[in-house]
Amino acid sequence: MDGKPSFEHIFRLTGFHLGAAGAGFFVAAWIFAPKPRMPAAVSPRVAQILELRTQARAAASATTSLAPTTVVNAGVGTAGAPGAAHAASAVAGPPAAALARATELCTALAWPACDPDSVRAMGKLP
Amino acid sequence: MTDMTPDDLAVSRSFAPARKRPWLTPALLGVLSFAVTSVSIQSAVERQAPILDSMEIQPVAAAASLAYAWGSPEDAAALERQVLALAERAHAPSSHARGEPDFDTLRKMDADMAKLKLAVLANAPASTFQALCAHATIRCTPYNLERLVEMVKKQRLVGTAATAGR
Repeated sequence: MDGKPSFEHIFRLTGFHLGAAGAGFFVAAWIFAPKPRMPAAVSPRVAQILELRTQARAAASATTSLAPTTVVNAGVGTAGAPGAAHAASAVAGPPAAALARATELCTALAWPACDPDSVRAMGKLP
Repeated sequence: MTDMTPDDLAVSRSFAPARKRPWLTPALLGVLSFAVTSVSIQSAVERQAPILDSMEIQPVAAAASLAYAWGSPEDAAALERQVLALAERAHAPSSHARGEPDFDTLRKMDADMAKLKLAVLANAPASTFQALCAHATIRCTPYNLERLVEMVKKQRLVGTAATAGR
């Protein structure tokens, strides 16, 4: 063996070093990898309240921003007439369904104010 | 150039650098890599924990905010207590990077607001609000306490709506 290292020698030595570094990384990652967090289960009542929030928001956004479009789509043709928005929410499918579902949830929760105006106001909460 | 005898060659071989422990440098590198990786993972986990805690509060806080504004007092109180319990979970104080919000402080503020709302729901006396204010993380002084309590009371819309409806 002479003092000058051969290509194979360098190749093997580099391989050993890279392998050792990689092994250190993988062992540490395997040992210290963060465990997945299990969030506390949401109670059925909280789930109901969250659904109420979603439905009320859908109802509120429909009555504030989608009303004129809904009137046209519904074929009522009286967008400028008084009470057109109410007519639209009564005729339109999804917003009316959201309002109905929100009212149903609110009643099921036995909350004090479950009239349509209050439910729409719930949807306007930030 | 001189001819070398086998004895001369044997002598020159003995002067070549001997690799006594060829495993030493790879082993050191492996240990170093292990140490650096584990420290990086631990610090990342430490930084993420308060963020995940805050995220875990969000659904309950959203439900609590709706219940406080429009729900029955029982639902509102139960959910505010849940928010309080989640916000006050014991944790080692974590350091936050510059430019990152301090999630520990944000959770303390959530806890303060939940305590104020619970006090409002329970029609607590003024001394309770003063005690809460004294220990609060939110900006609360004896001068703005009344305004703060009024603001929290106004967030309960169901009472005002019922009164307006009458």
